[in-house]
Amino acid sequence: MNRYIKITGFIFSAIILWLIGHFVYFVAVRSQDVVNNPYNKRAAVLSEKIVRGTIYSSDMEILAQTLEDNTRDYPYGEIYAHVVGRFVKGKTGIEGTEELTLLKIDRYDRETLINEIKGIKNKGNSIITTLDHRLTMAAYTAMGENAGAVVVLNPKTGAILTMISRPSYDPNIISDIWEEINSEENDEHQLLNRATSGLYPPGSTFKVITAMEYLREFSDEAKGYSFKCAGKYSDGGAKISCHNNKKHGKVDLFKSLAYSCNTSFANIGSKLDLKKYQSFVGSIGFNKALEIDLPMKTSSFELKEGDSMGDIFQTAIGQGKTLVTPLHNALIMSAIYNKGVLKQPHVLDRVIDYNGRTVKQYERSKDIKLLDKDISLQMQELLSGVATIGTAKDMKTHGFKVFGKTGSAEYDSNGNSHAWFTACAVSDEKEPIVICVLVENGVTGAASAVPVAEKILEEYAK
Amino acid sequence: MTFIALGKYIMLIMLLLYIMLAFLAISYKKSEFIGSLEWMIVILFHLTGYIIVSVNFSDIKYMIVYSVQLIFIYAITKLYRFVYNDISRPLYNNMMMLIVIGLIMVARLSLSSCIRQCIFIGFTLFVGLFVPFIIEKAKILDKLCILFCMAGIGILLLVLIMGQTKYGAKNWLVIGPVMLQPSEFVKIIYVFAIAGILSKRVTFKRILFTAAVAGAHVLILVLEKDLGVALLFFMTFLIMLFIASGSFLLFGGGLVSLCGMSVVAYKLFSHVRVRVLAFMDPWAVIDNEGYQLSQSLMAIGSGGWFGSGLCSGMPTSIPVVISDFIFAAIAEEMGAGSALCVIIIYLCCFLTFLEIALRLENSFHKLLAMGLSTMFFTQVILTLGGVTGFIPSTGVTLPLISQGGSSAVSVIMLFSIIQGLYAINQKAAGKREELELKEEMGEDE
Repeated sequence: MNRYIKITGFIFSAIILWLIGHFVYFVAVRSQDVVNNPYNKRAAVLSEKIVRGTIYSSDMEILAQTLEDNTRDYPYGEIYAHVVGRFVKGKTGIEGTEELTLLKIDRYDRETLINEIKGIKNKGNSIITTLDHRLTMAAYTAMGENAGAVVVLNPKTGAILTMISRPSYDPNIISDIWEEINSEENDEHQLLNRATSGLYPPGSTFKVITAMEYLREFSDEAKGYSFKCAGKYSDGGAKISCHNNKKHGKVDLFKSLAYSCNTSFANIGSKLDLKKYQSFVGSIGFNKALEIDLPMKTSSFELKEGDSMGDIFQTAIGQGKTLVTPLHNALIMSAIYNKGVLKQPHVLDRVIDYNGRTVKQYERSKDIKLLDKDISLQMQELLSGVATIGTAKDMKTHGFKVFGKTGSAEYDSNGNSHAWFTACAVSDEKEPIVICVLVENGVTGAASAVPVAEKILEEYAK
Repeated sequence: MTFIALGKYIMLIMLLLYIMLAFLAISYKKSEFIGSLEWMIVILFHLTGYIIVSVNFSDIKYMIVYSVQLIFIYAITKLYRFVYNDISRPLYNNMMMLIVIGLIMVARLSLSSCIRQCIFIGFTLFVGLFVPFIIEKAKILDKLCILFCMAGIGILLLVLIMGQTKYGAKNWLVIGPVMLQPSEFVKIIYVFAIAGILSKRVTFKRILFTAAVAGAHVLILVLEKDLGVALLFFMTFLIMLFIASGSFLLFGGGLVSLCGMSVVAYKLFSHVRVRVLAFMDPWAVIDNEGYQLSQSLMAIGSGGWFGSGLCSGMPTSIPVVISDFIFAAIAEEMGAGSALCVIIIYLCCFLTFLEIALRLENSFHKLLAMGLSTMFFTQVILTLGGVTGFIPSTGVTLPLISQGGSSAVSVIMLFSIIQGLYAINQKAAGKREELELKEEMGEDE
């Protein structure tokens, strides 16, 4: 019998050791991600014993800190309000999602212990973000008084360097201005993060997607594509015209994009298989959320078989019922740079202790295969004309090779429009960057959005 | 105040020292020195815990409750040592350590529950004083197995008919002002019954008979929807059968049929599906099914290695924290380090049980010890695993720590019975030594 008793002992000991292993792994590795949950109400309890840590930009500017008198200070006020967020009057941004990380101590040493004995509040973990202060300031200044959003990111890593939404609010005094900005008379929507949650008609920036679908369906004929633009075009009772009825003459795909030729894209749209068109657009994050780590409103797209030619025209040039967020537009451009692969966009880089020692590197989910490799490479080439001969040809590129697309998105029947520019700048010396600018009530993409991107690029080139 | 601030570290250090001693005690079980050191830590730990809780809640009531507990613990321990010169001190210390941890945690969560708990524990410790004596003297226990079978099945049937439902399982019996969980007592009777049958001869007929008895118990528990306890009963039967028969085939067959039954239970019972769903991804269903487990994991995660300190966390955000999920509260406030020590104390208890079982000579006693050990340790694994997301939650309590009268009574009884078996073993060993001594002296002459 004793033999079997020993065997039983081994089996049970093995199970409990396995359980201990699971428990240790959970506490050491998994628990970080678990505690930052809106259902975890421990922030109030923790903040009695621990001072919230600091949030830094990647160049170590302080974006949020707790002062001696225990108030939370945001040195740059409204500039970082949306991305850094707040924890009073609702929890948003990093302050919201990482609240428990900021209120925890993950590395104890003598000093923290001594403080604990003396009853002095210890400082919780601090967070270093990927945000670049120089670029953010340049973007913010360039936006001036305009409403809109700017997203700048590194397409190779997914690191977000700038995320701006205007008009913004000063988080330092949010409690005082809360009623004012929530009053019914106020239609500025300062609390909305336009970069991630603002849904805008994409305008001509959507031609990028239409062009990609064309390449998918007509890979052989695309090279020899030719269309004679007469400034106006009609087919099956539907009419469309180019901006200011300008005649672009004989255009291929390269020039169609460069000049943002509406008639040519209406022609392309009329050739597309609507079912395939819809499924492709759906596969890159429209109507169905992309599996990204950042919260982002889902863009929408509406076109089905049997829709009128007019609807097809309008949708192909980005004026249909399509809506997109600035971040989403930036992500599409970054996937084009990355040969179709979308690196997980992220703002959080690493956690450090009060002494600056790294406690933890943030982990990211898997990359997403968004586009076809060949098509991405072709698109890089096709979009390069925009900044050389096309709508953004006046842009100073500061030695970068730029490919991208401008857009003017009409949002009402009076011809009012939002200005877009989404582009990627590449050079041999520096990391590539994707810049996406949206200016509400701008004139055109070239007139309102491109100059903002230009200023950012100028700062980046320094 | 320094003491309060450092309390969690002091408690962790005590627990670390304790588990070192507990491991040593498995090998040097006769050492008075280790036993006394362990006992000292138990007393100091108890005191530290109650001081911290009392100061943090600024309520002297906790110290009064503590004083009563201390006096009782002191008295009962003296009595045990007076009545028996042969009890396993390491085992007694481990039991008291776990009880003390439970009394601190339960008091911190709810003082009124703690007072009730004290009464149950005190009463059972007192009754437990006589259990080793009964085990030693009553030689006919193994002959009463049919009676035990009938009693066990009878009690469970009674609950099935008259019981009340709580948390989805119909396992409570209300007699006047008293609420009982009779399955806790049937656990012990059941082990006696199975051990009685299997200790004679292991024939095919007897195996069938025990399977029928175990099956009847399990079936009634399943009908009561008390599936966690049903699983305990099944595992206990399986291990006892394995030890009695030495058949890997039976053991493997039993495990396979357990898997089959699990699938059937999953298909049949919605609350099983709920728990599996919560286990798979508690965060996806955090609003409903996964709420309890998510809260538990957040509590453990928020505590970290050193914990928030007693009374400085929010363990009450976990539903049923005081009984099934008390381990999460320990991990949050005393820290994951201390929680690990608690797991290791359970392991030490189990290893000591096995040690005792190995030395017993009577096969009935051996099976009895192993059945009780399995019942105890399987329950520990099920509850710890459920709370930490290792396995789906089964809704069983953490022995000796969780609040719950019936559970406390049954586990302390279980420890007392094993102490009784230990006493028998010691006596037999003593006799043998005497005999050997005589023989040696004979040779000298």
